[in-house]
Amino acid sequence: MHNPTTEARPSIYYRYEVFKPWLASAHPQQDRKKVVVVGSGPAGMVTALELARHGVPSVVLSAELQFSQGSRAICFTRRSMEILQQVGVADRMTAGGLPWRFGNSFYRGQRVFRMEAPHDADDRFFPIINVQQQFMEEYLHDACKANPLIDFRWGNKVTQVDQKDGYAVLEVDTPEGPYALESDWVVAADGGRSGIRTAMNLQMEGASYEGFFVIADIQVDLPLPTERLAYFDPEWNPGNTILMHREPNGIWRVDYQLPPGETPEEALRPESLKARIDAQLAMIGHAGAKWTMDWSSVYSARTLTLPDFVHGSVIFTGDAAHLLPIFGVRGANTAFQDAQSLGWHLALVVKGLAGPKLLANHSAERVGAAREIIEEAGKSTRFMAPPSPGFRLLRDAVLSLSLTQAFVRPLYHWRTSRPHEYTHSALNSAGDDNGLFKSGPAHGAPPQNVRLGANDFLLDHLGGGFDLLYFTDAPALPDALQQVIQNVRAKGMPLNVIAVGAAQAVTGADQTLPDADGHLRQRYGVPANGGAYLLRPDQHICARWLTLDATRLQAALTTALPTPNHRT
Amino acid sequence: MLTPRRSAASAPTNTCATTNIVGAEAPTYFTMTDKALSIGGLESVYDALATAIDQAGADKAQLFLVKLALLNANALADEHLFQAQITAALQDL
Repeated sequence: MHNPTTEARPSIYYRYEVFKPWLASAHPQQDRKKVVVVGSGPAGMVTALELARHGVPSVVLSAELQFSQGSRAICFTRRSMEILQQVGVADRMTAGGLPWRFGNSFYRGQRVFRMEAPHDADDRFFPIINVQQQFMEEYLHDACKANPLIDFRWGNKVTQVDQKDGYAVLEVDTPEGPYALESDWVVAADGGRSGIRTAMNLQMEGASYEGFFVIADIQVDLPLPTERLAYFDPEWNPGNTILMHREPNGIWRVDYQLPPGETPEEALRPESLKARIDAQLAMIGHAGAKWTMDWSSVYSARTLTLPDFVHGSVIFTGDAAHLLPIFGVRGANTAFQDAQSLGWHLALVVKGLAGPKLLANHSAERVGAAREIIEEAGKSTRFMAPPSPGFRLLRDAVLSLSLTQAFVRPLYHWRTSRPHEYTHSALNSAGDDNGLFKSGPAHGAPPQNVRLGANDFLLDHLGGGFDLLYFTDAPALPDALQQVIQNVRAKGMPLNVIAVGAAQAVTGADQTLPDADGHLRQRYGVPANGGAYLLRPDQHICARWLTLDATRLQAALTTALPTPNHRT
Repeated sequence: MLTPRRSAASAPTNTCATTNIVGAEAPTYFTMTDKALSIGGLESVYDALATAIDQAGADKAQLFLVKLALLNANALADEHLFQAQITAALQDL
């Protein structure tokens, strides 16, 4: 019997709703499901929403009866917001969030580095926006609830996964006891401590770093802008690093490293938290500021990934698939990219439009992304929390030099999460004109957003399938292209056609963007009419042509959606 | 005792101690530059470095030397040459 707490979690700023558990006895006998998503964090819910967008139903299982405890992930990148826009929650994130683009690093009372993240006029979203995770989960849950294809089940804890031939049987425990649930596919989005990963005895590759960090959320009134603050080797915590972030609702995140040897239990004692937070506030000139603790937790830096995310009928995603360091806001932000990718890859396989090869592509691309992040985040981690005396000595030398020597200061800039480019994806077209373009997003790159007008951006018009951007001022798409498009659509391939550059609606296109000033064309590096881009359902580029013809369009579509083999 | 190197052109006859100790690959880097310290210059560096290490004190000498190495590396502007120097310095510790 699984009995999650029915007591609302404590919070100063967030009122937790305790949901009713889903009970099998209150529902009719169930058929085998197409997809069961285990876990209702950012990865699980975005996967379910993307699947639904492609018409694929899913069951989402949450072991708890409420959203997660504490603010957890608070910094969301521009690409995350673009993904959240695709699943319909970006407006709510924007409404409640604190956008920012500057970061400051301090050493011995001096600001030794200022990070300025670029903000292009063509971007709808800021480089980063701060929103507490409970709100983000609430927005995603509301979107799931409003979607008839998503069957959301609170208080359902997966206790066992048995892989059969082409499907899996889950044992799901509830407050009235367990029930069995069959599904063709199981998405393991059950977080960093994934019980499914442990039960399947899957090994992760990579490194774990020693040293613990405390995260504490405090309510305090500080007259400071929304910018990231980082303090190195302060007097009250010698050799260690402190980070501060402003959160909505009068909350500040204080994140500090513990001296070697101190246990998480010692660090989380109220008197220990109080002494350190008081010391930090005093150091930044706010000694004696009145504050209240909301939530605290401890983490350690790890750079680990599964080498393959697909295991039979079980697909791992988000933190269940990899554990990434907090520096560079890589947890939830990577999870969104994983989930967006998984959603469309899996949907097209479930719909029989593609074979398992497409899932192998998903795994290869996202494992590649995880490895890239591990490589980059490893550098940040070695600076923030030096793993050996040598690394500590170098870090300390850089701190010392940074007071007078500009050349070392960029080392303070730990790289922020960014979308992985699928440069060598198997879905990229071999016979297109990718290499002939002088600018614009290349093979595998995420899309370049473009401002089209007041509150109107290119990405507002994309998604839900493949998108073909065709640059023309003619009244109609060439017949031969229209024929190819009709043929693939008749086979079920979701393909939207957007004509760019004509003042009137273009026959054969679903939408026409006039692009009167040619700005979109210029950002995409298209020199003349007849050029085109093919974007995948995650908006990454998989083909582009200076002059598109029917033969090469067909070839690109065939490459982008490998035909099914035999798997039910 | 170290022998100062001269120009790259005279390198074949100039098998100095510096090139011998860094092994087979490294000499490429050492012949890439025709800059070298004179004996007098080297002696000045020797004294200045020793004095500075003493000035930094035992507990800060390491930190001082790493700072100095980073400044030198930046002035050198050649990560491969710096790697060769690391290899050379790690010899015979």
